Amino acid sequence: MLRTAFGDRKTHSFTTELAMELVEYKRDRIQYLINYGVIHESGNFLELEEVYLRFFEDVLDVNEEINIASVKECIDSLKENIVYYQKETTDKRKYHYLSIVQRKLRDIGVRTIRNVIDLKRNVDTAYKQEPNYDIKIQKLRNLDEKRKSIRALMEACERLMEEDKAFFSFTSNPQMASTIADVRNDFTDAYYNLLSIETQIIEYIHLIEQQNLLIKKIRKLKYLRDQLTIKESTDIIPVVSRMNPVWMENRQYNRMRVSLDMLQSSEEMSALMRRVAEKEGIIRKSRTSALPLTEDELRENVSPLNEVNQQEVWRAFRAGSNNLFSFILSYDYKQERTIEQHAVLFCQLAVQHPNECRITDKYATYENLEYPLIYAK
Amino acid sequence: MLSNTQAIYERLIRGGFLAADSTKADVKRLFKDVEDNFEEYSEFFQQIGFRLESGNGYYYFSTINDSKVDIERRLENFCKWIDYLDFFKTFDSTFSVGYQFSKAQIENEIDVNADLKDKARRLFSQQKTFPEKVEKLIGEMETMGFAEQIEEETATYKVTSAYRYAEDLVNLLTIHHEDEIPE
Repeated sequence: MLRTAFGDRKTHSFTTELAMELVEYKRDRIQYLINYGVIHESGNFLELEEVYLRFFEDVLDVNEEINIASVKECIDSLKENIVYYQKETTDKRKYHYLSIVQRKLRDIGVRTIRNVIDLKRNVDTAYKQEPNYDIKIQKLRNLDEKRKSIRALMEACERLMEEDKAFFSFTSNPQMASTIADVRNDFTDAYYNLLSIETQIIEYIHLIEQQNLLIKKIRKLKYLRDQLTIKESTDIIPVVSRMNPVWMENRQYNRMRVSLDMLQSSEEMSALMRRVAEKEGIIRKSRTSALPLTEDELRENVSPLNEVNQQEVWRAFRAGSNNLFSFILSYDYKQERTIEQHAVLFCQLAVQHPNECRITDKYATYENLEYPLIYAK
Repeated sequence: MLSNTQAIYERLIRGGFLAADSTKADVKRLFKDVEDNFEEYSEFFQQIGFRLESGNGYYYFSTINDSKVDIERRLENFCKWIDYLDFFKTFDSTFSVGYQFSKAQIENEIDVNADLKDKARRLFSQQKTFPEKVEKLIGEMETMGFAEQIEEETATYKVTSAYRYAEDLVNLLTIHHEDEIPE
């Protein structure tokens, strides 16, 4: 229950109801803690008493507030005890004050380091989590003041350690000398950290101011744009004339032609093309492959044409010495031909090659057909 | 050794950016490679007509030859980003590099913030509903590489360092008689 109460300390949302649930509805347990001043009831809420809150924060190292006052108190108390130590005459009492001084010194070192750590965390939190720019910048400025205070206290303490005569006598005590050395080491660490925190604060403030300027400028430009006067009221035209980034071009990704060889190279590609075609709904337009041939179509079914290669016949005729008609009659055709076909071929060859023929005046007769004797030149 | 020319080209040619703080491993890898071999990549892309431009935490392409895009078109593209920047800064004045936002957050803010609602209404006339408009706006951010989705379930996005480019655009302009313009 105490753990939950501590966890809810910032939101002040630890209700009595929740507490009752955590103590298994035994009200006397809560009452016991109230009676001993560990928690107190405020309306319907329960809160840890300040003293325990601080105790837990100190022990758990989770205090968010940078407590400069406590360090200052420590230094004041240190000074007081040094005075007592100097004035004390009995050794036993002197030793008592010496141990108090030693404890206070150690405390100052520890608290300073813790303050520096808290300061660093607070700076980051203020910058990263505070949504309001004005509050953010104010918080950072306040934290910067705290940074200065921590530094001032460290300097005051160092001055004390360097200038107070009592410290010279302390150095003869080995335990005390070691504590002083520890505090000095803590301070050195703290100085370095404070320097980096200072830089960080300056940078954060600078960034915020930049963002503030940016917001103002965006609002002004937007106003001018909405008023349709942005061209006249700014140098936007010359600025955009000088720019040619690709993003302004609304450029589509360059289309590349795919290699036809690649597309025809594999079944995988052809499947891919079919899929694309289907997706684009162009399957019907595209030339589709023919259906496989049937058995019937594959059967050998040759019907030779009764055609003659005239060129071939003419070439053979020219090679011989026979007259054209006799040659045509005796030529080795693949199929039998009629006398009419022979006559047609005779006329065709004679007409097609007038300059290569020697037409004589002599005639011969075949069956009842009279023909002139034509020879190759 | 330029081993990522194709991947870099494919990303930048579409007007995208490479952001230093991208959450995507491949973009991060490309950014690192360009950062390490900037000279070599610049020279390579120069030969095919592109200037590899670098900003604070981002890279992008611009064309070396005079852009074919007319001034009006460029103006329109530029002003479009003034609208978006203004919208985001109205949504949250801390909206900048590193900021995280979800679609639902913007939609909720539109519901309760009259100014933002008005600005949302003027964005993307094609999109009729606010969720559609928000979706489109986030899409624009993602296309440019200015925002990246970091959680799919809650539609949460992170603003990358490339968004600085959009902010830098504003700083390029000089407003005449700035003091006379209301903020």
